[in-house]
Amino acid sequence: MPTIVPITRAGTIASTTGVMVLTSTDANGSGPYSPRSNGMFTDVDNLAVYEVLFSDPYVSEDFNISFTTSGFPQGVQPKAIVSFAPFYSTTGSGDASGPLPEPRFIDPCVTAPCFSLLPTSARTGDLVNVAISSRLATDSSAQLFNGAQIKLVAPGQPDITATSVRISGRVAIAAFNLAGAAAGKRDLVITPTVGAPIAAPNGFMVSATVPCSYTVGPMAPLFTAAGGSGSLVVSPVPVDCPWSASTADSWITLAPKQGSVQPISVGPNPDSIPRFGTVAIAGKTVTVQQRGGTCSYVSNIDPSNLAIPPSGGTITISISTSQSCQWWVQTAVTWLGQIFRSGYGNGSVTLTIAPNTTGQPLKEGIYLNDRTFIVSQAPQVCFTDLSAQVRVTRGAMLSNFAGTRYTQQLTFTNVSGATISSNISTVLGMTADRLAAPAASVLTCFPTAYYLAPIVPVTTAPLAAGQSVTVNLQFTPGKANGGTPPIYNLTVGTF
Amino acid sequence: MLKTLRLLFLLTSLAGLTQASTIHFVSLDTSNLSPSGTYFLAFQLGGGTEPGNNNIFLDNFSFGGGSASDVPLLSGGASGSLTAGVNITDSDSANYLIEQFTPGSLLQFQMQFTTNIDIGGIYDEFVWSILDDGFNPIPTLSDHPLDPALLITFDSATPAIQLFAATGGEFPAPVVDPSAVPEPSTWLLTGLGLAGLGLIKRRLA
Repeated sequence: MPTIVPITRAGTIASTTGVMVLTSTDANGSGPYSPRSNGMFTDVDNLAVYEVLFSDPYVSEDFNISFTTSGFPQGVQPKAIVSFAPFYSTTGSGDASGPLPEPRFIDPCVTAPCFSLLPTSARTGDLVNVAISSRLATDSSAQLFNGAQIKLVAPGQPDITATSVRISGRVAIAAFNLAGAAAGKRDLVITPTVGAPIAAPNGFMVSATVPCSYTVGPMAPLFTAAGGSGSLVVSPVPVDCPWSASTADSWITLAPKQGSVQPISVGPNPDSIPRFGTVAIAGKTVTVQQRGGTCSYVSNIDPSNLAIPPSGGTITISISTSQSCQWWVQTAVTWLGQIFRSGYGNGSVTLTIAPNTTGQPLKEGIYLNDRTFIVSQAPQVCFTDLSAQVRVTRGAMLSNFAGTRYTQQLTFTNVSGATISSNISTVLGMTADRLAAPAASVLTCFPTAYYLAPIVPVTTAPLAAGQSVTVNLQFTPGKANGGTPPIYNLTVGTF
Repeated sequence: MLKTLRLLFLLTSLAGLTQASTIHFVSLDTSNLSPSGTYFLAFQLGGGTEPGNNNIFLDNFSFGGGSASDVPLLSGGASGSLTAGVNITDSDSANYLIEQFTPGSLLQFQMQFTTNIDIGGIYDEFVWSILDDGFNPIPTLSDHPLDPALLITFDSATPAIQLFAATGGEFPAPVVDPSAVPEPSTWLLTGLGLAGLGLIKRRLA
């Protein structure tokens, strides 16, 4: 039964010629053995060297070499080792080649199975799984890997033995813990349960730990005043380097990261000016920008209830707005104080409104930025005219005999025909400083004609119909002090 | 012509009745006043809304054993003295006379005045007060600020003469002779008017 030796040439060799050596070994690697039949092993020492020709040195090719083995001891397998020499044959296909140059064999797998490793390097401290792909036949690979000890070795360094080996076909996955491993090349050594160890010299590299570096983008994301969401992308080198993100700005929200993406969202900007925040991410600082918004204002003024009492009072206007937003409060007329106040952010303005002594209702606006609040104030009425009920007879304006005062007697007579129960006073149309006696208050309410004029109490007792009461007034300065008799109007009423 | 003359006489007669002064005899018992005290007689006229339309004349003062200082304090439209007679016109200033006197048992004087009514609501007043040594009126039962013993408000052609006693008993209310008659000139003017009317009547008859 012929034995088929599959030959696979992987990659390019820039050569169309090669040399294949066929040998035979047993399970222990012993050999070569002499075949009991000719087969195609026709050379001495059971070592056949074939020159092979490839049609295209730049394309991978597969071909099979078929030969017959017989009489071999149990377990002996033919082995084909092909090496490709870097020369070009000048002869045609099938012709004998010329002398082969030295060295004729450069493949490390001259006497041992070839391995290919993936990966071929890792960092100190890594836990790495190395896929060891054998070029032996599957069953031969299984024989090789089963129970084998696999380790990384280097002169002067402790061996690093695979902590586990998983075998799948011609591939063994060996796990190595590179904690504390010094940087440098390592031989991959496979010690099978039967036979001599085989190695892939310098097949693996332990590299020093590489500091993590990160690239983050964008570094200055810009959001509109309305806010929104976006992403920050982190590219770590090495890729497994850890990173995190945080922010101290309350208006920036960071959602849990998704792989290399950090979701970010920004709330609306209540200020009129742009704002800036930062996100600390992967050791870098991202500046988050947001455009300014439109100022909004909230005040405590109830537009439907801005009626000031006739006696006056105060209005305190509280304004709430963003710190960067400017407000101003303005009034245009004197009775509201005729003010202009301005500020930024939260603030308040107090207006002091005097009693309305005009006798007319007042209405005017308070202007808060572009808003207008209408303030009204009814006239203050503190005087009820009793002129129709009380007749006033004014006595002569005489001087006292010392000349220091003028004096006049006023007689108030109830002509209403009924008792007047309310108090009666008279207000004099003159400045209060001329009235020396009796003691008088000052009119601070309607009627306007007598505003700040002296109010002289006449009686607080009920005045019967036809009853009279007199009040003697004294005025200064008198004649001796250069004063002239005062001329004044008066009105009578109840206050 | 005749009708005109008759009207002229009638108006003259009525004018004499209106404008002619009436003599009032005024008496005041001053026996309660201390002869050694300091007192002043004070007379004031005016204060109405129409100055210059009234006049008062006081004379024939006697003090019942007392005397006047004859050193008057005059103001405005006041002139004269207690000895020479006092004349006061209601000028637009303060019109008063003040003169110290030594009280005796009875103070007497004669008083004549016109009675024009001020237009404008405030009438002239005549005030007679007796002052103490501080020029303060001795309080009377009047509620007038100047505490008069005698007060006339010229609010009619026949104004009332109000009389008040001192509240402290210093003097009683003055007495004004109720039988006061027009002075001779008044009678003469009125008589001439009536005679004229009679003459006209006879001619018509």
